[in-house]
Amino acid sequence: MPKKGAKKQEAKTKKITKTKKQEQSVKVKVAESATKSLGEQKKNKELNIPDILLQANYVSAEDIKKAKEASKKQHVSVVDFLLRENLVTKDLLGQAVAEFFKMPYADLNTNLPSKEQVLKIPEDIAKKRRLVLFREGDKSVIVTTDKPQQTQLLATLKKIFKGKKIELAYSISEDIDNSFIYYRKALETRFSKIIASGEKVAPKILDEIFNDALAYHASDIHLEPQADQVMVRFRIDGVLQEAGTLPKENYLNILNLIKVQARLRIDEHFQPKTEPFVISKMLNKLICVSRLLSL
Amino acid sequence: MKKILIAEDEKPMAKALKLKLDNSGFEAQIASNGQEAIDMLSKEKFDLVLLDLVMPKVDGFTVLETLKTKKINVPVIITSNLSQEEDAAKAKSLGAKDYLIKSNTPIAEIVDHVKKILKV
Repeated sequence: MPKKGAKKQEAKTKKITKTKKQEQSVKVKVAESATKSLGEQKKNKELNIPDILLQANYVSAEDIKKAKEASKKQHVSVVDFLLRENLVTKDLLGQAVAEFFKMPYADLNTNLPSKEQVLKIPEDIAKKRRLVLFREGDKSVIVTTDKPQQTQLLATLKKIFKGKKIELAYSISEDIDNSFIYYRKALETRFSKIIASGEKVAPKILDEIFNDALAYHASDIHLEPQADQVMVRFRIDGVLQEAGTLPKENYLNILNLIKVQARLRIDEHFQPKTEPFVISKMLNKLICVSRLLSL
Repeated sequence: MKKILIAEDEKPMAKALKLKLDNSGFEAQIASNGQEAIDMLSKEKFDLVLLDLVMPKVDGFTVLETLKTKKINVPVIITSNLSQEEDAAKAKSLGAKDYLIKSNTPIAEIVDHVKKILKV
C-alpha cells in the first residue's frame, strides 16, 4: 500500500506535466485535451477511463486510438476492448484511477479482506457508500471505495472508527462487490426463500451456489447427499469448507439440471465421469462436472 | 538519458512500465523472457534492470546468476508476485538491490524506486 503525502503527489503531478511538455507537439496536444477533460470529470464526478489511462501513461495513445476505432465497429466499450486484447489489466486500471484521484490503490483481489474486516462497516452504509475496510491498526484504518468523489465520506467513517486516523484508498468496483459477499444471508436462508416462492427452484438454487462459489474463489463445489439433507461444500485455498445445506427433496431436480448442462445422461448413476460446461452466459465461467460414486 | 531494461512477460504491465519510465525521462526497453534479458544485457549497457522472477525460458533467479557469472554490473530491482521471504532473501543474495511485490506496489511506486536507486 502506497502512503504518499499531498506534497509528494503534487510534486509527482508537476513532474509528469513537465515531462509531457518535453514530448512531441502532437502528443502534447492529446495530453492537454485529456487533462482538460479530466479536470471537468473530477468536477462533474464522471470518469472517462480511457482518458485517465492515457493521461497517467498506463496505455499508449496508439492503443487507445485502436480501441476507440474497434469499439465503434465491434460495439464493445473501449475499456472492454483494452481488457480483452490484454492491453491493460483490471489491476492497472485500478492503479490508474487511484492515481487520478491521488489516492493509494488497494488491491482487494490479491489482499482479500476477511469476513470480520468487512462486517466492521454496517451493511447499509457499506453498500450505499461503497466502502470496505482494507487495513486496521491500533490508531489508524485504511478504508477503500470505488466512489471516492462522494462528499462526507470521512465524516461517515469517523463515526464508525472513532478516534482512529482514517485513510481512503481506491479499489475497482468488481473487487468491492466481491467483498460484499460477507453481507449475504446464509445459503440456507436464501434456499428457503427460493423454495417458498416455488418458481424456478432448481436454477435459482444453482445460481446462488455458483455465485457464492465464485465470490469465495472456490476451486470445487461438492454436493454431498446425506441421510436427510444435502451438504454443499466449497474447496477454498485447498480446504473443504461447509457452505450450507439443501433439503433432500430438491436435490434430484438440481442434480438433473447440472447433468443436462454438462451433457451427462440423467439416468446414469453408477459410471464416474467428468464433463465441462459453461454455467451461464452472464457469468461466463467454465465448470467441470465430476460424477463420483458414493458409498 | 538513463537506460532501463524491463524484463517482464506480462505484456500490459511491461508496456505500462515502459510508458511511465519513458515519460519520466528514462529510455526503457522490454525483454519478454529471461533469455531475451540476458541477450540484451550482454550486448548493451543498461543503468538498471526491473526483473520479474517467474518468466518463460529462463527465470529471474537464473538471470541474476548469469549476470554474476558474466560480471555484468547493473543494479537490479526485482518486481515479482512471489511474496515468500526466502525468495526475497535469495534474490538479494544474488545481488538484487530491491525486492518489490507487484500486487502491493503500484507501477508509479516502482518508478519512484528506480529514481531513488539511480538518484534522479
